[in-house]
Amino acid sequence: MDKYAGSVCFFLTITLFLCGQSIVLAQDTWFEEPLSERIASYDIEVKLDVERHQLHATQTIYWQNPSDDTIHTIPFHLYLNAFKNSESTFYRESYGTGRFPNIEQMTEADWGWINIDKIKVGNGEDLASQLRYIHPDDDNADDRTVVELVLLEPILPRGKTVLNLDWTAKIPQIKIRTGYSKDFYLQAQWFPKIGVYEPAGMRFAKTGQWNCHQYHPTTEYYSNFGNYNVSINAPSEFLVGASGTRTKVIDQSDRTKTHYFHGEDIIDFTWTASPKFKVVKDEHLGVELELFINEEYSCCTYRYLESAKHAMDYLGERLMPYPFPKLTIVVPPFHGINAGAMEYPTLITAPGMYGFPDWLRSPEYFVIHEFVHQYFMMMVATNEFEEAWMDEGFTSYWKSRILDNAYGVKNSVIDLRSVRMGAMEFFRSRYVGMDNIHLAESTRAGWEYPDGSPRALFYSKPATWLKTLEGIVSIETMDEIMKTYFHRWKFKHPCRYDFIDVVNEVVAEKHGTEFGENMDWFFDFVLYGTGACDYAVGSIRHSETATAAVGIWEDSLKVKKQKPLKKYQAKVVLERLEEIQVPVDILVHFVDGSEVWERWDGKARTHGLTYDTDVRIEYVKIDPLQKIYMDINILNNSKRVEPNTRGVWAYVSSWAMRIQQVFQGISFFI
Amino acid sequence: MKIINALKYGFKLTSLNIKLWSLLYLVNLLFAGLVVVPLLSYLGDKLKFTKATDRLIGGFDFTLVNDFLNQYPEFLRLLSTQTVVVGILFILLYIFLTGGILTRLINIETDLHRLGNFWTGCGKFFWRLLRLSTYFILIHLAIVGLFLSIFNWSVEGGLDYFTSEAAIFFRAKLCFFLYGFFALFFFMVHDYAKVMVVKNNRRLVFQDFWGAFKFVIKNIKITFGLYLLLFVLFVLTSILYGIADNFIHRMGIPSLILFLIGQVYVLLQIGFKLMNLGSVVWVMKNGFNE
Repeated sequence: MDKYAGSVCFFLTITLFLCGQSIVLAQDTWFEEPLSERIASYDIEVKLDVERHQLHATQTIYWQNPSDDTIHTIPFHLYLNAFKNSESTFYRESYGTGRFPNIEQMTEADWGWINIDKIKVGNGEDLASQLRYIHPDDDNADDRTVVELVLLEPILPRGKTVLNLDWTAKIPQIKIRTGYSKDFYLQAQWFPKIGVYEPAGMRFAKTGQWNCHQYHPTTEYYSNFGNYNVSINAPSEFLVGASGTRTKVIDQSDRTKTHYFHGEDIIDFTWTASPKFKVVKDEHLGVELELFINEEYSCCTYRYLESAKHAMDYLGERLMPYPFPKLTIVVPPFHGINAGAMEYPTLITAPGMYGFPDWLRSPEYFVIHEFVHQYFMMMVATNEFEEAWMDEGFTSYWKSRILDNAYGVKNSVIDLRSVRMGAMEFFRSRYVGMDNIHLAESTRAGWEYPDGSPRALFYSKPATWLKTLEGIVSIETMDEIMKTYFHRWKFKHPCRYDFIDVVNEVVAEKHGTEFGENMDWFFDFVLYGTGACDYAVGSIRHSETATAAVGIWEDSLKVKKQKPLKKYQAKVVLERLEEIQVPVDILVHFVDGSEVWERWDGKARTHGLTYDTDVRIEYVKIDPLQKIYMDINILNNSKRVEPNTRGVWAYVSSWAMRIQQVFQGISFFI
Repeated sequence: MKIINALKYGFKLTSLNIKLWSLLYLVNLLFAGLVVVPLLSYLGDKLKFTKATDRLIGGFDFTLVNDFLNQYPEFLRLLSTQTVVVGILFILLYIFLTGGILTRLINIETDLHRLGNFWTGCGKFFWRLLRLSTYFILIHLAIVGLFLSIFNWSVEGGLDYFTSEAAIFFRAKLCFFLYGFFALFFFMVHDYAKVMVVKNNRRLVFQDFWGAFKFVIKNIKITFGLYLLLFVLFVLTSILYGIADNFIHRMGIPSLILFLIGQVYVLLQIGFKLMNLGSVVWVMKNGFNE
C-alpha cells in the first residue's frame, strides 16, 4: 500500500480538486442550457478608487459574429463620456431639463469620462491607436459616447473573437442614473460595451449592420445577451450589490474586499456600493431577494419587498416565472435619488424618501415598474433607442395591471381619503392630458421628438392603447397575445412588426375575422398615426308616432274609446369626433328599465339608431364598460334625456363640507 | 381647578347661546354655499346630461375629474377665485360678529334676552377688532418668517452637508413644533386682547394688545393651561372626526351621511370657539392679576 500511497494521494488530490472545481462551477452556473445566443460575454475586474472617484479595470469581451458577414470594425458604447463636457449629445439634449446644474456651477466632480487605455484582439498588439469616435445619430463631432475599433484582421462569418481591454474612468457626480453622491455609488453604463450586430433580416436591417447609438438622455438600452463575470474591488467597509449573483468575497491585504459576481443571459451589468447600506435578504418562489437600503428608509422595507413579490406572482402566472436566481433592489439615499427608478438586469433601483406616507404608493410604483422591465427589455430585448414604446409602454401597461390588481383599480397609486387614483387611470390621464395629443407618432427614435422628451408617447399612450386593445379583444385574448409574444421573443430582439404579427395571429385564431382581416388597422391608428379617439352621444330625440288603434270597426258599431297608447320613434345619433376608428358597444336604456345593446364599427363620422317603442329612452351610453380606454373624454360618452345632477350634488356636497371646515378653521385666526 | 371652572363657564355660556351658535353655523353654511352654489350651477349646466356623473355618487372619481378639468380648464380658476373672494368676505363678517359675540358673552347676566346689544356690539367694535386682527396676522407672518429663517439656517448646506434627509426632516419637525408653540401663544394673546377690547371699550386697541400680553404672561399657568386643554380637546375631536370620515369613505356609505357628520364637526368647531371665548371671559372676570 505504501508503495502506491504517493500515487493514490496524487490521484485523490487531483480528483478532489476537479470535483471541487466542478462543484464551484455548478454553483456558479445558472442554467444548464443557455437561454439566449450569448453573443457578447464579459469578464471584468474593476477597482473602485473612492478617493479619486475613479474606476480602473481590465476587461475581456468574448464576441461571436452572429451573421454570415465579415466584420471589419467593432463599435463600443463609452457612455460615461456623456458626462465629459457640455458638448456631448447627452448634455446638449439635456439642456434646460434641469438634469445638470448651470454650466457656471459645474465643478470637476460633476464631470466624468472613460478612456480605453489598451485594446487587443486576443494577445495581439495594442490597437488603441485604431480607435476612432463615431457619432451615428447626430453628426456631433464632439460626442465621445461611441468609439469604433478598426480591426487589423476581420472577423469571419460566424467567427469568434476575444478582446482584451484596459480602461480607466472618472465617475461623475450623479446627474441621472449613474455616478456617485457622497459615499454612494451606482455604476450603470460604466464599461465599454459592444454594439449589436444585426444581420440582414433582423429587425429593420436590410443588410448586415452595427446598431450602436450614442448616449441620449431619453433612451439607453440595446445590447446582446451574454454571460458576465465581474469582480469589484472596493474598500472593506463598502457593501456591494450588483447584477447577477455573488459567488464569493475575498478580503485583500490593502483593507479592500473583492466581490465576485456572475450573471447569465443578461444584457448588461450594473453595481452599487456604499458603506451606509443595510442589506435585507428575503426569498420568494425560489428567487433570492436582496434589498440595499439606507437605515432611514427601513420603515418601507416591507413595501419594497412585498411589491416585488406581487409583481413576481402576477407575471409568473401570466408570462413566465422570473427565471433568474436573484433580484437585487437598491434604494438610493435621497442625495443620490437621481440614480433611482431605473432597471438593470436582475437589479432595480427605486427611489426612497424619509417618511413616505402609506397612501402614496411610490415605493410600490417604482419597484413594480422596474421589475416589469426585467421581462420587457431585459428578456424581450427590444431596442429602446429606436422603439422606446416597446419597453416603456409594455412595462407601463403591465405595471398598471399589477398595481391595480394588488392595491385596487381606483386607489393603487394614491389612496387618500377623498383623493384616489389607480395606476391605469394615472397613465390614461397622462395621455389624454398631453398639451398636444397629436404631437407625433410613437414610432420615432427616442431623440427624434420635437420637444426632446415626450414621455407620454413612450409610456402613457402605449399603455392606454394596450388597455384599449385588451378591451377590444378581451383580456383572455390579450393575455394569450402577451404570452405568445413573450415566449416567442424572450432572449431575442424583436421589433414592432414582430408584436403586430403575434397580435394578428392570436386574434385571428381566437376571433376569426370579427375585427377585420387583421389588426393592422388598429396599429395604423395608435402606433403610426397621431390621431385621438373620442366618441360621443350626439343627440337623443323622441317623436310620438302611431297610437293604438281607435275608431269604428266592422264587427262593432261602437267607437273604441280607450285612451290611445303612446308610441315613440326614438332616434339616437352617435358621433366620432376624432380620427381613431374602433368598434364600440352601445347601451340604450329605456325608462321601463329595459336595455338594448348595440355594436357600431365606429368608422363613420356619425351613426344613427332608431327604435319604435312604447317607452322613451332614459339614457344612451357609448362604451359603457370603458373598453375603449383611450377615448379622451368620458363625459360625452353618455347622454340622458332628462337632466340629472345627483352625482354632481353628491360630490359638491362633500366640497361644501370641506369649504365649511376651512372657513371655520380660518375663524380661529381672527 | 381654576382651569376646570373656566372651562365649565365656557361650556355654560356656549349652552346658553344656542341662537348664537346657530347664527355662526348659518353664516358658515351660507358662505360655503356662496362658494359652492355658483359652481354647482356651473357643473350642473355642463354635466346635467351626462351619465358619467353617476361615478361621483360613490365618491371621488379620478378619471371623471381629470376629463372634466381637461374639457373645462377654467373651472379651477373659477373655484379658486370664488373661494378667495368669499373667504375674505367671511373673515370680515366673522370679525364683525366677534364684537357682538363678546359683547353678549361679557354681559351675559344682564343681556341674556336682548339681541339688539349683540348687533350694536358688532358695529361698535368692528374696526377695532379688524385692526387687532391685522396686527396679529402681521405677528403671525413674522413668526412664520422667523421660524423659516431658523429652519433655513439649521439646514444650511442641505444634502451637501447632511448625510440624509432624515436630519433635515427632524429639524423641520422641531421648527414646526416650536413654531406651533409660539403661534399658539399668540393666538391665545389674541383671544384675551379681543375680550379686553370689548370689555374696556377703549379707542386704542394697542393698549388692550399690551394689556392682554401682560395679563397672559402674569397668569401664564391658567391662561396657557386652559388654552392647551381646549386645544387638546379640539385635536381629539378632529382625530375622531377624521377616523369617522375615513371609515365612511372606505365603507362607501352614502355621501349624505358624510355630509351630516361633517356638519356635526363644524358645529363642534363653532362650539369650541364659543367655549374658548367664554372661558377667557371667566378668567378675566375673576380678577386674576392684571
